[in-house]
Amino acid sequence: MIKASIATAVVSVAAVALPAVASADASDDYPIPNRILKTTCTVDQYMAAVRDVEPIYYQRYMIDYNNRPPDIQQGARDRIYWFFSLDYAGRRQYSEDTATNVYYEQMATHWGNWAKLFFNNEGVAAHGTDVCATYPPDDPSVWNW
Amino acid sequence: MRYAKSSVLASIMTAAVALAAPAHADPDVDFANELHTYGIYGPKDYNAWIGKITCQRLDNGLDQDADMSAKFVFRQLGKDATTAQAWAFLGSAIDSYCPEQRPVLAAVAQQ
Repeated sequence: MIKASIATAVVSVAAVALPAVASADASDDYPIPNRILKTTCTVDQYMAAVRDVEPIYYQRYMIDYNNRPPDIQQGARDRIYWFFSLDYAGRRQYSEDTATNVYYEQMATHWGNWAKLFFNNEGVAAHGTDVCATYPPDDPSVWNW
Repeated sequence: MRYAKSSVLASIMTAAVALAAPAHADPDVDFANELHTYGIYGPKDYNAWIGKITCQRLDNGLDQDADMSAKFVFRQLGKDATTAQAWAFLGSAIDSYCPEQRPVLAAVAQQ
């Protein structure tokens, strides 16, 4: 009788304890939108597309970008080109790494919204990736605004 | 006597405050009002952003003529917008935010 109640108690404690370990796993849409994980567009193509179809979002990002010192701007550009060089599996892993470790992305400690144009808004990502393939793969003008 | 003087002063000051009140000059409000005459509504700030970005695209050469500019505007208006409304928007935006770009519109008229 005592054994049974101890067993019950242990089981119910375990049941309570398990859901408490709520780790912040990534999903296929979070923190990085699915469209960005899967797009085959280049950074320049995506940015040119967003400049046309989500101009206010682009404008705000570029104002923020232009307010950063040159080395931070360079760091953000290098980092996003690196991210886009990854395949789907690599991007998905990166999404997981940033979701589970807030210190994983060093760039974010210098500029919190460094990748806002790419990662923060599913609607913008969807509208941009819908048409990005129609733009030239190399277009440095996307960083001059 | 002293009381009368101060009450005159007070009424002058009241008049000065009352007159100053309607002197607001917000180009975004004027722009929105003009858009309304073309049946273009939507958030004032959104339309102002689009108007200013339209000018910036003309200034930096991303849109090289009024045709490209009108296409950009058309894409930002609602689904029910017409081409005529896009051109009306473009004309108002140039008048409001970049009058130096008026020749761009004139060039289309001469085609």
